[in-house]
Amino acid sequence: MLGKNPQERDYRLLVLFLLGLGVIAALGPSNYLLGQAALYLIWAAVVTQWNLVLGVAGIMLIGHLALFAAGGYTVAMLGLYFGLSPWLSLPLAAVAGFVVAFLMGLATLRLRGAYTVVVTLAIAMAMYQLIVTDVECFRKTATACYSLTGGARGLTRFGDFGFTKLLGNGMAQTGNYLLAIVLLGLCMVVAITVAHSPYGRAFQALRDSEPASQARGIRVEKFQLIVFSASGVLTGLAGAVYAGTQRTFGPQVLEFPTLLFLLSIMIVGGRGHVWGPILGTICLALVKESLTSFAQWQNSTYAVLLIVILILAPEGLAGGLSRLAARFRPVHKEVSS
Amino acid sequence: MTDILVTALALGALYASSAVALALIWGTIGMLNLAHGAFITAGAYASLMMVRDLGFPWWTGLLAGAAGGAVLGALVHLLLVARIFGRPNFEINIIIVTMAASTIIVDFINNVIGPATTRQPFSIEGRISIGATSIGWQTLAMIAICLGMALGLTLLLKHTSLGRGINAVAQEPTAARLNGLSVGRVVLRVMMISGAVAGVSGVLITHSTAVYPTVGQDPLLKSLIVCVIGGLGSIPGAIAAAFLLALLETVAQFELGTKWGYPVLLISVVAVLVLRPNGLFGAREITRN
Repeated sequence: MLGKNPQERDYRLLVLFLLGLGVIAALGPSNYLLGQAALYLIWAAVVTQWNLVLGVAGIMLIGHLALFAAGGYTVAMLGLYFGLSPWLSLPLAAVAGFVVAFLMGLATLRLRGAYTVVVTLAIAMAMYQLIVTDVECFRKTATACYSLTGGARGLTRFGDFGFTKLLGNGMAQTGNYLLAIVLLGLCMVVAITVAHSPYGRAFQALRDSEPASQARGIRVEKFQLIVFSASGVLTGLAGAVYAGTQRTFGPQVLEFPTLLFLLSIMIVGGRGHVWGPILGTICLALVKESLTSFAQWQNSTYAVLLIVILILAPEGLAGGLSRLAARFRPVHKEVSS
Repeated sequence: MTDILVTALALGALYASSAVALALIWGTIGMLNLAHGAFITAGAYASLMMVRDLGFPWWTGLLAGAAGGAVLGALVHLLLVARIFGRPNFEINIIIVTMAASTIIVDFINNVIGPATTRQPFSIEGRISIGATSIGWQTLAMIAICLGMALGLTLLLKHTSLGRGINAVAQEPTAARLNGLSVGRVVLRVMMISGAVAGVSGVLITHSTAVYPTVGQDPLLKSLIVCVIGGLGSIPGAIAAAFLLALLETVAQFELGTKWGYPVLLISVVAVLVLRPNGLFGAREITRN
């Protein structure tokens, strides 16, 4: 039913999955549930792009959330200072993500693994420091004084996607949820296309053994930069969708807990696997929602989960599932196809 | 002018002491230790408990800091490093795992010891005047301790049998093993030494910043930048880069304002890496997979 070609099978699975998500909205769940689900879908979308760079293209990018913040702050600041609706600033957020990713890629492309980690992490932290220490008065109201970037408090009241007007009263969360589905779909299509492209296989070869691939003449720097920039575009968009649906954007997205949460999603789901981010998000969402009474140890729980998976099952859920599927698939069929 | 130099010297000494610990681990095990900040924090809290809670004299804080860092180093080795050392993707996995470990330690401090900000009870009274300016004894002691640790580490690597073992593992772990060296034990010692040095530097750092659960994060980032510019894994490179960057940061803060210290550091690290991808002093490529 799902087709023999693995790429086609992934596309069809994706369509089924997104339709399933859409059906949930039609069942009329509570607004709280829809809001939480939209947030998790956005995180899943971010991790698909991070996974593409870190897991598939093999670039040791740790400061990925800088791209997310670039998109989010673009929407928030344009909305606040120029009254631009998030719909209009979406493309600009994508451009912001692209620019940051392209510059990061240029700066790190010649570097070896650990140097890339340090530089990308340092860029994200520098962004964080500049925002948090930004206390200069930029905008005055009758009672208070706000800085350009909102400082540690972040920015609010810059508008949203206006689903109440578009879809009717009480439909804001449904609209947000549907928008997040579209975002995740877009990100997954890019991820599937890249992973099954000839370059996706070249990356795989490069990850398995760099000297051997170089000896065979595989050079992927240019394509690494393209994948990096493309992931910047989509991560910037994800940041914009986050800002427009949550109606607030602050430096918290650049803090370690957010980084760790998304990293846990990637590792638990299976680094380098196309379906890893979605499986990981489902798993981590279940863990997070069942731990609400245990909130002060939340980050430690993600950390322990991440460590255990990385040590005992480095392939993650997606790796385990695909091995399980291979065991149940009759071998002779594989040969005849 | 002298103010800038004195500030830069003190800052450089702090950077040097915490960066050599990171450089030692990178150079020998080929691992970027993102739990380095947690080692620093552990040292700071160990000293705090020893002096404030148990009432021992201030200098025992340094010993407690070393012990706290070393214990944490041993724990991180036994629970994490030993399990993934020498396995595929070690380079990136160890980064992720140590990052997770540092989160657990911050959570632990927040929930068990408490999130309050406290003063580090480590202080020497008095100042000494040099020309137009004066330096506190405290600053001088700090500089002396930092330089002592950096120098001690260099001597240890060059002139002791443990140092030779560490160098052997760094150069070729398989050959080291074939020559009867227990690689696991050498790695454990490296982690403990590095933890101890980071712990002491944590005591010294927190004397000027106060003690709080995430106090190690900033020094971690600074040490990473110092090590990258000095050439990852090079201890003399790290010491030289520490003073160079401290001077740069201090000048930037005096001339442009406090908030620009860090961005200037960042721009310099990117510039150095674009021009010299192995750092200012790094020549040797170190990879392990």
